[in-house]
Amino acid sequence: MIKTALKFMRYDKPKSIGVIVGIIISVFLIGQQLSTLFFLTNLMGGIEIHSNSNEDDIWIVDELSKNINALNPIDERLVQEVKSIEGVLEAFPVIIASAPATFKDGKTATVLLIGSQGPSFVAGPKSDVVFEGNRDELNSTGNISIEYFNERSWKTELSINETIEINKKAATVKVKTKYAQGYGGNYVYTNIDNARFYSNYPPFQINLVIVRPAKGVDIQQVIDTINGTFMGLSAWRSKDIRDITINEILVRTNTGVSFGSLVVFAIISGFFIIGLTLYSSALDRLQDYGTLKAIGATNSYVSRLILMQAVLFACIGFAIAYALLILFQKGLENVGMTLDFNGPFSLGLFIITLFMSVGGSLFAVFKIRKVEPASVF
Amino acid sequence: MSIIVSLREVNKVYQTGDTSIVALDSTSLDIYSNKLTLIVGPSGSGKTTLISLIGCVVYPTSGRIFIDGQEVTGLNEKQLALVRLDKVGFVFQHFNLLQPLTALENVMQPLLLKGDDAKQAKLRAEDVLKRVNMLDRKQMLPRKLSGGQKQRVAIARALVTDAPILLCDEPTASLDAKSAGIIMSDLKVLSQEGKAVIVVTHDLRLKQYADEIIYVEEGKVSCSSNSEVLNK
Repeated sequence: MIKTALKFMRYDKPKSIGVIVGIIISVFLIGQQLSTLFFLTNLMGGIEIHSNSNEDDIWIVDELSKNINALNPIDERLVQEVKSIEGVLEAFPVIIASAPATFKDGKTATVLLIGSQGPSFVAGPKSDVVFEGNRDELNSTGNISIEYFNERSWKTELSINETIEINKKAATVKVKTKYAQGYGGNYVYTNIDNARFYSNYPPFQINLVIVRPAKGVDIQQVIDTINGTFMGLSAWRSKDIRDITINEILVRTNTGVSFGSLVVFAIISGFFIIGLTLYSSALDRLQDYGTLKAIGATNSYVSRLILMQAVLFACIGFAIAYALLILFQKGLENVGMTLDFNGPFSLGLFIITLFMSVGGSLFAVFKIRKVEPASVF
Repeated sequence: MSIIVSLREVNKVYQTGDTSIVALDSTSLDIYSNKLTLIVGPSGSGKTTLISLIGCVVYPTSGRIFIDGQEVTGLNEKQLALVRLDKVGFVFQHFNLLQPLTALENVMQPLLLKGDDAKQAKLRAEDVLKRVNMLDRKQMLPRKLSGGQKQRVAIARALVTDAPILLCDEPTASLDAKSAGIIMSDLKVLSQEGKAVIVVTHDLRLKQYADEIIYVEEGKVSCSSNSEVLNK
């Protein structure tokens, strides 16, 4: 049947090309939009993703803070108090604050200082995003990191040991990160004292505590104890604080609706382009399908023949669209936009392609099922 | 010589809104193997309805139809498809070859529908194409074949399952006189080899090939042997 289906597809080249082009455009748009959305959500949760926090760690923030990129101040003494809670192994203070930066060539940018104490640097950077330099050097006064792709977007050249100004105070670039990017923030990692100094953060105040529970303790119980003990604070698992940040930004900025509607429209338009082209192609082949029925093919056989064509169209269209998406991915990699077409994403995209193609072909199937074999006389 | 098709008190009424059109009226007839039976009649007389009923592609309104001893009147769509596949080979006025497929693939189709292995189907189809002198054009698409060649491929497709009935709807209407003569001679030979060849036509010149002639007029059927016709 595959061979017969392929012959039917090859015979009606213009319509087959129409179906495949419809699939390619739809799948490319869907893949592009979804991968860009996932890239943006990774940026939104970038602080957590690029931190050295593990999944059992607990993040404590002001209870009004629903976005990790914009945290309210909390009292630094909290760190010692949290350490006294049963099941807490360690607690790390963190300052995340923005500040204006000026470069040698006079260009300016706003940076997001992320300061945590070395050598653990619990707030980051992760060693796998350290592109140049030694992370331990961030523990010294006046040393900071900059992001490779921010340097390119700022259109300025920054090399290791180069000095820039942050809040009109000299800072030395000792580390370059690559792919440690944030949503609207240019991450600059340093130690907590440097972060306070460069951002003019008030003394005795921080805005995040990362708690490392002891091994084997019930994490939820520790979270409940913290939430019950400290008024005005919220404790979250690291994954949860990333998720509420993403949800908050997606809702506040309508990014989710915007991308979601584009994806839905791409699916709907793909469904109808493919469906109507297959339907039109089936109408052209009405006599062939009627003949098949007259010579002994059942409705089930002709339906499967059409569905087989739809599956083959889906496979061909998906393969081409996926190749284009990989090219798109490679092109954007150079500007720091890392789109991730991992296994589950690719599988999901293929299932959407099958849904559009097979779903669209049902118009043709219903039409052909109604063709009477007697119509060929 | 045995009865291969029997119609008993078969009626076919088409309903269009409030209007009923009697396409075939209380028809009983027998068609025999080893004979070439011609069904003739003017346009709109009910010829197409008659062959549609014999070909099991429409249901009668009432009456009973037997194909090769099996009553087909109450069968469902799937069972009728199986009867068509096993018992009836179709030859159409406009050849009705599947355009995207080569001559060989067209002839293989009924065997593939029966679930035969592709290799065996190919060998069998080549045998039949050889018989109709079309083996050298087996890889050609229908659009590259002449009318006569298309009809030969269509006959090969009808023969490939070795069905006992060959149902031909105006098989010479789209052909020139020479090709028509060749096709009718081939069909005659097939009937002599044991097939029940049923040819629907409005061309009375074909009666020279017929063993039996069935006249259809205004939904009513009358039969006669060819000797009677020739004497008329």
